[in-house]
Amino acid sequence: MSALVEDDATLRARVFLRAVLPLVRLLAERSTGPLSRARGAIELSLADGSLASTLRLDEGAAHVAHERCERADVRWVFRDARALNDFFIGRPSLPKITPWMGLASPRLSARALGLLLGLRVLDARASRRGAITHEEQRLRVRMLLALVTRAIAELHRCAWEPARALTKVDRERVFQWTVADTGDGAYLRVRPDRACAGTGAYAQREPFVHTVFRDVESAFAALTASASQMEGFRGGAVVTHGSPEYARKVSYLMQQVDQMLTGQ
Amino acid sequence: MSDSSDQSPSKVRGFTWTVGDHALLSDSDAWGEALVEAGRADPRIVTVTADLGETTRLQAFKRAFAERAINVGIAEQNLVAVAAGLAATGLIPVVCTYATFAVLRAAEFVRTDLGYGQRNVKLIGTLAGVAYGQGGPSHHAAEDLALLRAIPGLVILAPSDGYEMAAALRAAVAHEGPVYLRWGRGTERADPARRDRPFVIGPIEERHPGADVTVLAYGPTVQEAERAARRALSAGVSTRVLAVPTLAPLDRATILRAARETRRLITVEDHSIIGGLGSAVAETVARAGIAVRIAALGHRERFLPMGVPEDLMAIGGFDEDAIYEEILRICRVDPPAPDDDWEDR
Repeated sequence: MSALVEDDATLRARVFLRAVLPLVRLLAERSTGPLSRARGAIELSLADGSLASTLRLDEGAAHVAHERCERADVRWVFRDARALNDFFIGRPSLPKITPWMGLASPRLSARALGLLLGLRVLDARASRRGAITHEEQRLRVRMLLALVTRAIAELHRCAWEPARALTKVDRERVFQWTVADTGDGAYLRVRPDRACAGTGAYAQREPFVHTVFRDVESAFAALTASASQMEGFRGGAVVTHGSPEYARKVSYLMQQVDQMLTGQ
Repeated sequence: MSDSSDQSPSKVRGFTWTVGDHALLSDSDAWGEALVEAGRADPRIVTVTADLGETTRLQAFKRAFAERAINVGIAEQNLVAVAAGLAATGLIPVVCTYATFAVLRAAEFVRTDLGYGQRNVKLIGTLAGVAYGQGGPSHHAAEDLALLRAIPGLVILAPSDGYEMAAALRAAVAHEGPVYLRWGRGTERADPARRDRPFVIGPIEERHPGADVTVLAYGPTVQEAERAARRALSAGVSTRVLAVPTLAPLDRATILRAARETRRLITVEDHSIIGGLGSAVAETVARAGIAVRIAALGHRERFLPMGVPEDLMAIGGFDEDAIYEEILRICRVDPPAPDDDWEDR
């Protein structure tokens, strides 16, 4: 049974912790240098204990578990959900960091901070500033697709009505996004009472709605609003197969997620 | 027809694309283009509509040949009668309106002028079944085939995607005599490899080979059946999928061969199970004296509510999941364990 979220700030905080934070895994995969080998656990939580996630770093990999950590090396405690949201949006907001403001584990703290700051590439406005390489575009596309699917899954689990509107009938449905030239993608799998997200293609059943981007450039342009919508469709840069009504519903949800995460 | 939750482009940021107008995105444009090509090749072709525009795909023809595009207004009996009259002068009218009105409202005109009179009219019933689900039961067409199958001399076609509809239209125009083409809304994914495939009036087409059970479908349910057949493979069931793009004259030989070879038949249609393909298959098999198990999926003696077509197909029990469950049930196969891992990956 999903927990019902009581207020908008807490809902957004859940999305930041459960959909945005896990994306550090993708950033960690490609980073190198001495700090990349930092090890340890950082717990991020709200002061009232209602929400917590733990970021574990180990030999270059990053993994997020949505639970408290008894033996965390560093704890970041946010005053409330609003403070957490402001931090992730990039507004002035700092958590209380213990022990010793993280200085007891300097490499770990620096590594974590670097990864978290790296999440700012998800901001569409940042993505439109300056030229970026094809590889950078590809990384951002992967992150954005993972983000949006996880976010909608989390919102569905929180019984947020617009997300639950995806499952009005008793059917399991898969919404799939794919970048045709690289095979990168992500999916959202929903039932009336459950939801989950994943990267790549869901193999157990064919998608109910399948959005296919012709290539990385098309995906990047569409996801960062740097191209006209209908231009993309007319040129075949983006093709959607399946129910048009549900394609519209899910793209509306994506817009909602974007507004939620950018504070608009 | 549009979903009223469209978002204005000027108000969105980030993930901004939306499906603005599915008419621009579906391959169903193919048949509108095919009609224009046919009109160029044969000046006898005219179109007649009952005050419908883009949804009928006749607008392209009207733009190309304005003097040959007739609009009778919202008057479907008039629509068919006018078309029959035009056909009597040697023209080839292509008529298009919502299936439920084309057939039910104009029933007697279809029967007497087209069927009995054998007028060379091509009647396209669009948005058949629950393709216009949002219109509610008044706009659902679940009885058209039940009525039309009983009219002698009427060819009935039901293509399954935009490319096949274009090919079927060409075949219909080339055919001498009345033809009814049953069409949905064209959101089915059309296989580009089938784009230039000619349409032959009559034969059933095998879309997926199989030996344990046969699923017969037409229109939008063909792709539902294909997906169900692919899923059934994981349960060890080999499913033959037969697309029935011609409902009259019916390819009874292929139906009987499937009955003899697989012994289990499932019919699927976005139509009442009474009077449509389900009835046609059952009649065929019973008259041949073949003992097989038959299951009929479709509208079941109740009106479906207003809603999104895919949801209505699920509620009505003739979508991919329903077909898959029926395949397993009729073959007495336990379903494989579901994927119970709902963790984000």
